[in-house]
Amino acid sequence: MKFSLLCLLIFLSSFSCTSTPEVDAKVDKGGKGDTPNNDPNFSIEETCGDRQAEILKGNRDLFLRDNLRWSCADVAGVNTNNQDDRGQEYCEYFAALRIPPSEEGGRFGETLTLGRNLEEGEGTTDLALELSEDQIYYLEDHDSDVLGSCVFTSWHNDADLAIPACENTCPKVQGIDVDADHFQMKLFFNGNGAAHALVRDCIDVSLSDDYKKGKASDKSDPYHSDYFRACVLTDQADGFTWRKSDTSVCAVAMRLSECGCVSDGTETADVLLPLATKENAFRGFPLGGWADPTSLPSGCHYVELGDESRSIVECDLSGNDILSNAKDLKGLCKSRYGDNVVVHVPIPADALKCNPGENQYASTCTEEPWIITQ
Amino acid sequence: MDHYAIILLSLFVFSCAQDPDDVFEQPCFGAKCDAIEDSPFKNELKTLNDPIAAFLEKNADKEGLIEGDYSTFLDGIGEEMGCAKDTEKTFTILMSNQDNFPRNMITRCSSDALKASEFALSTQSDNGDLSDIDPHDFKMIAWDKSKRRYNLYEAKESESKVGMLTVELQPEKCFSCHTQSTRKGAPPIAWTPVMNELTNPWTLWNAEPDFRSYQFDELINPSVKEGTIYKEMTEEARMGAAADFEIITRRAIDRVVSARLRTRRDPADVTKALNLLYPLFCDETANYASENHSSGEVSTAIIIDDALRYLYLQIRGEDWPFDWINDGRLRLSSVENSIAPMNVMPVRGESTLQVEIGLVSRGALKAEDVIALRALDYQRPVFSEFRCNLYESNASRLQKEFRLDETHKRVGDLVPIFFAELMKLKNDEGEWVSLLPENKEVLATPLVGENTKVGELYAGQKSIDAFAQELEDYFDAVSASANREALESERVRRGCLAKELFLNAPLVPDITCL
Repeated sequence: MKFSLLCLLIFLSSFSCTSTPEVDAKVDKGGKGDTPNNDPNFSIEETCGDRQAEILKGNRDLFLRDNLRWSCADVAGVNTNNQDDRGQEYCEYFAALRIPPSEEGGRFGETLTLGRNLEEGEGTTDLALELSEDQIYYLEDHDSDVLGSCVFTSWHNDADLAIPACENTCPKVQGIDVDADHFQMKLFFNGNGAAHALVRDCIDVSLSDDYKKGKASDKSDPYHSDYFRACVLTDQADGFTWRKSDTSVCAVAMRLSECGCVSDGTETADVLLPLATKENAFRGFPLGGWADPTSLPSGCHYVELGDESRSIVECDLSGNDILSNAKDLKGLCKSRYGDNVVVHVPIPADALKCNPGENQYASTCTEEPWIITQ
Repeated sequence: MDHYAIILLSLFVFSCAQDPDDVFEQPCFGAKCDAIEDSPFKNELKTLNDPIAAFLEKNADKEGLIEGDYSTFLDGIGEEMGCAKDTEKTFTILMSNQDNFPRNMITRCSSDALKASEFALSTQSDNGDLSDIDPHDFKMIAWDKSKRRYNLYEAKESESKVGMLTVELQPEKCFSCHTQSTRKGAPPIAWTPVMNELTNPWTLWNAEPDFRSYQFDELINPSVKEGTIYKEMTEEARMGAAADFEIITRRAIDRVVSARLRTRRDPADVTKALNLLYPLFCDETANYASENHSSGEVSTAIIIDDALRYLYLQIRGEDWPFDWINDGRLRLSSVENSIAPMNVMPVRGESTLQVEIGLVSRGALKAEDVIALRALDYQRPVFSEFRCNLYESNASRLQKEFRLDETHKRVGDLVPIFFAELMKLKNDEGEWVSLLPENKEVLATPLVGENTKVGELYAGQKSIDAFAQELEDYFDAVSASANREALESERVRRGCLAKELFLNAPLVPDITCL
């Protein structure tokens, strides 16, 4: 099953899959790998239980009427062990800065991007910044100045779009022209084609009725939870059960199927997450905050691309940030901003009409059954 | 109990242990020297280089009187900062000892955390009227770029002139009531912003509109919600989420810590060097972590000092196979309906651990050496008597015996020497034995008792990597355990110590202290 999805994704995104989490299980040093499934104790049900607790019992609402959301921060278990696998939530991130001067009044050096994903299979740019004593002094003297940026991008790897703003002056981040090479996502699954395929597969599995449901006689069966049931189903649909994004997208798709939600004349998958075409192109899922799709955390702003896609966000790194986190500024980007830079997937609520048939969960269907709560 | 009033509420709190007189060492600076006026208030004002001082210089009379209310100040100071009214945000926390009366923190340029951390206005409730916020009674802080510290101001209704506010500079009462630690021998530190519940779920803070609040909506005094001023300050467009205030507060902490770390450039001085090392051994500040509602998710800092994560990442920024380093989040067993989530667990203070991380990232100390300190009594990441006693016993020895010579040029030169000396313990023969093993090893000791001998500490000798694995095993064991009793008992222990040590400690719920 996984193989077929990988091949489909290869076809859709034209990326090799040499470093997919599936096939990239290197020998690791402590028994735990760079993604949760590389942990020898990995269990789909346990992972889904963890995600369920975070998503439904915490203080953020992922499932809204008009939007499905999740944050850019990767979940626990996605890390740099063996290789840097961060950026799994349809949102990749890295740090950018110009090499600090060695003396007051000195010149900044070249611009570096730290931990930025390179083409599939080529890893990332260097993660650590080495500082001389003079540079340490410079950063300390400019501890509250903005001297670098965290970049969050949701620009799909298969959205080969020009940047309208570049017809005049290209926007820059720390002196780097915003271009596809630096700012388009690189991981093979971070694309429109992969997202669309996931939705379609989740709907197909749901409609096949061949997925695990709760025992009707046991109200405490965890599979009665819409999210948990969908999370496990995600694996059948060739998604990854540890990701907030895959499991949440699949949960919406499953609920649409269970509740007979359709849109006149259009495949549900195409309504929920259309496959981009030349006529209907879009750059990526818009980034925003938790309050609304256009707000951002303090210290962050949009990089204006001229197309209102809101797919690239830049957040401040101060001299002190750089000094204190030089070995993993990307990690600081995740911990300081990543939980609050939010991927928004618009849901065309008005276009969907639900008519539950007869299935075990038909009685749980509301007018908007994709709004999943505890 | 009255100290809860001051701070439970974890807002910008400023330690005031620093001698207020040194504010006035410098009568003026720059062009301001040209026009010293015959007014103590104005002359004092000229020693301060921040946007509040600039506003007052233009608008207050020579006695420090000014017409208006909180909004007059916000508008005037905003103009000095170049921050318009529509950049204003109000962040609210409840004061549990005052019938859950809200305290509002207001910033300008709020979407730019670095800029926003230059200034904040905090409401008070000193007049006893809990039906609404008093718009004529508030404190403010502003970053002094020249002196690299926060200045504090307080505005109240004038008793002598009706309709006027009187402004006090660096108010004495603040200096006396906002010290960070009451432990004898704790060094004076500059005003340090404190947001006690710094991290998600920001207990008692308003987390809307970004997140659902924890206890805020349930506990807020219902009468004040209808107050005219409260409603004005927290109207939808102005309401800020605790998540953003966390970022702003971290920026403010960074400013203070960075300024403190610069003292290592000063000429060699025994006391200054020891003061820089004090927070590595003793707790100057504390923060308080809570479980994210009923998710089971909580900061790893409740069991493993957050500084350890950063210290390991200073050695190598990647390729660690340990969840406690990579994730920083601990997952406790799921909360049953009958059990309340773990709430307000004291953890090592952010400003305290940032001094430690800063000394390492600036090359003053080696990460491996500081890890060796943290390995001692590591299951007490905060409030370790053993580590603090190490400091106290050795610091007095150093104060008495250490002689500066020509090789000691700067405070920074003394830091590694003193650190090595502070990491010594007397054995049964009365000899000082180093607790810094050679070859970058550590003495991993989960808990150190009152009578633990040096030999017992050395039984835990192991490599840095082996210690990381030991911590991972500990992390996994706590995650896997469905038993929350041990954590609860530790919460009670720490809660009582926090109450004893910090005047600004929040109410740690459901604990009884002797």
